[in-house]
Amino acid sequence: MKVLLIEDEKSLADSIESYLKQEGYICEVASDFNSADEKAKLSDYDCVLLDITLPGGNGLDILNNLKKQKPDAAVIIISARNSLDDKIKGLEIGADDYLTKPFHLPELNARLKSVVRRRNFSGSNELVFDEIKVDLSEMVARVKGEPLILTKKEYELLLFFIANTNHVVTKESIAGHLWEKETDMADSFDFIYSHIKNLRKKIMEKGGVDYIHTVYGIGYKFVKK
Amino acid sequence: MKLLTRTNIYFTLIAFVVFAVGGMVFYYELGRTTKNDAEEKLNNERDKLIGYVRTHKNIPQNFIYFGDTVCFTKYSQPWSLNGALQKSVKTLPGDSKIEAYRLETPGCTVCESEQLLKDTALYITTEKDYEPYRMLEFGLDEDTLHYRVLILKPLIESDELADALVSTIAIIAVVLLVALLLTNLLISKTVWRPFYKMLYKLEAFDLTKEGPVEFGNSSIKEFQELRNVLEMMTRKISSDYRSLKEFTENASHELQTPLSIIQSKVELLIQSENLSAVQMAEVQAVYEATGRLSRLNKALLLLAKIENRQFAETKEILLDELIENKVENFSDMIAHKHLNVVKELEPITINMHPSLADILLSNLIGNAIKHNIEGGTLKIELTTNKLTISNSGKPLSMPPEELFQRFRKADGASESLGLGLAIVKEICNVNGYSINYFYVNNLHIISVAL
Repeated sequence: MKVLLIEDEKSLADSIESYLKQEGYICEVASDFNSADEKAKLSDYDCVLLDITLPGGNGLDILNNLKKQKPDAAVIIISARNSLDDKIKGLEIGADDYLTKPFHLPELNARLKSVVRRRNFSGSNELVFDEIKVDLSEMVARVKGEPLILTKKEYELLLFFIANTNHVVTKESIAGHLWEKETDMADSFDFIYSHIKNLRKKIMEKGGVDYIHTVYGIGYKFVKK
Repeated sequence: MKLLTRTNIYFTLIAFVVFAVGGMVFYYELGRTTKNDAEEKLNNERDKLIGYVRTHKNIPQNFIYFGDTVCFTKYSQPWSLNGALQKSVKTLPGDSKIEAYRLETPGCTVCESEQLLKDTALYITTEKDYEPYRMLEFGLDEDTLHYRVLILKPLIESDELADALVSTIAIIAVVLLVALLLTNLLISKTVWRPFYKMLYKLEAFDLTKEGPVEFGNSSIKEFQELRNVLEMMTRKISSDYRSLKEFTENASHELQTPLSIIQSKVELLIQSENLSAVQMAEVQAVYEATGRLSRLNKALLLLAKIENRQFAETKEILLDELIENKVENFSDMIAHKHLNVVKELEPITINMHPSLADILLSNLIGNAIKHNIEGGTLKIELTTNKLTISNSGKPLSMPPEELFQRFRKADGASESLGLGLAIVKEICNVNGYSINYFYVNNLHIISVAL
């Protein structure tokens, strides 16, 4: 899978690139308006990660140009501006998602996969992870063919884990993914624990392996056999 | 009170004083002038009389010599002023009068002084009243002729004079005031119109909605200056506001970027397999601090944005639905603390910026969960004009009036930013809601009057 990362902060671009490479993506980086605009036009990418504030121009212009040329291009805006106007404008022009900095790398990864999956939706819309199969259109997860009865949060948690297989996901990033704004009000992330416990129990009840490893104090890791 | 009304009042008061003082001055001045005039005439006639007597060696028999206003009487009885005056009542009102009394001895011996000038009054039969006269009395000695002469000139009657003055001044005053009112009306309709226009425009000026205001033209210098100053001011305010807005956005960008870098680097570090437990714990501390910094930055920016009225546009919001929604979103945290949730919600619609309504409820409900006790109560009541959120908990460790101040935290909530309720307060300020805190029966109660 090929991703174009348009980001002028080199350190941040490096981090994102490094994380995505671990996921097996091919990642190209553009750090200013002109080279980004050119790259976006010239080759085909599965997804473009676009920073709005760029030296030499506004990222939204790149989005405009790209959408004119390739209306199907998948784009996620990553912006430091937490402004509703920017978000609405970006989504109107045709961005698939809008992520405000600072974001968690697992969150970006999960959204990237979700966007690409939606774009490439052809035939089977199924996510396979060892003996777990997730039917995304029906929103049902099965272990060895047997359906798991999951709450909405547990289902989302499972997808988040699968998207970030073999990565440590912190409690903060899980809370951010599942509860978004409400996590700002939380004084601890202990309430996540019961969801993890339930998900683990339900997978194992259906004969699955215990994929969820606890990384003490920090978070969890969904490990492939 | 309108400027013109006030001007009119002052003008009327001043006019009243000026007319009163002026009338008095006029009255005395006029009295003095007529008196002087009468004296001049008296002296004149005396000189004429003396001249006649010197030439003719006799007192004139003929009245015409002194004009028809003179009534001339001759007596040879011994001098008695009272008797003389009694006889002079035949005179017509306003006429001058000369009386000469033949004396046996020189006139000047009767009276010590050469001549006597005084005010007197004569009884006028036709008028049946005394009228004021100026009288000159002198002795006239020519050889053997000895006379005591009285010349009387009428003065203007003082009450007549006062009446005339008062009525004249009153008429002038009324005419002047009416003219003034009409002029002011005209002025306010024409001359002051640009001023009121500017005032309305200034009143309608909303910093968050528009740029500098055009105040229109005026031919009056003061208004031109006012317009220039106002235009300059609104331009400056607008540009300051814009730059402040830009600053907050830039600050957001500038801070969020390094925060993003730190966070992403730490997340990558967490992925590495070969960190020792001690190193991992340190990385974790950095990670948590970064998260807090990032939340803090977001909260401060939000406060700045609310203060700058950047959430000006409002929408209709179904408050009860939004509350249900929020409680649902918080359900995991509520379940984790085993809270007993009581909701008494009436269907209420309010006008508010959707983001602000969302943040207001998130912070209030989140706060009530955060500061709740295990197995405590969370009660949300919504009536037509009041939203009340109460939660169980120990009494406050700080004075209640400090509760809504920034960076005020309850004991043992060091993870908390101390900005949640400050943001709530600011949102209430912007929307004109009043917010109050009570502690009753082990319940913290925050009520917002919508």
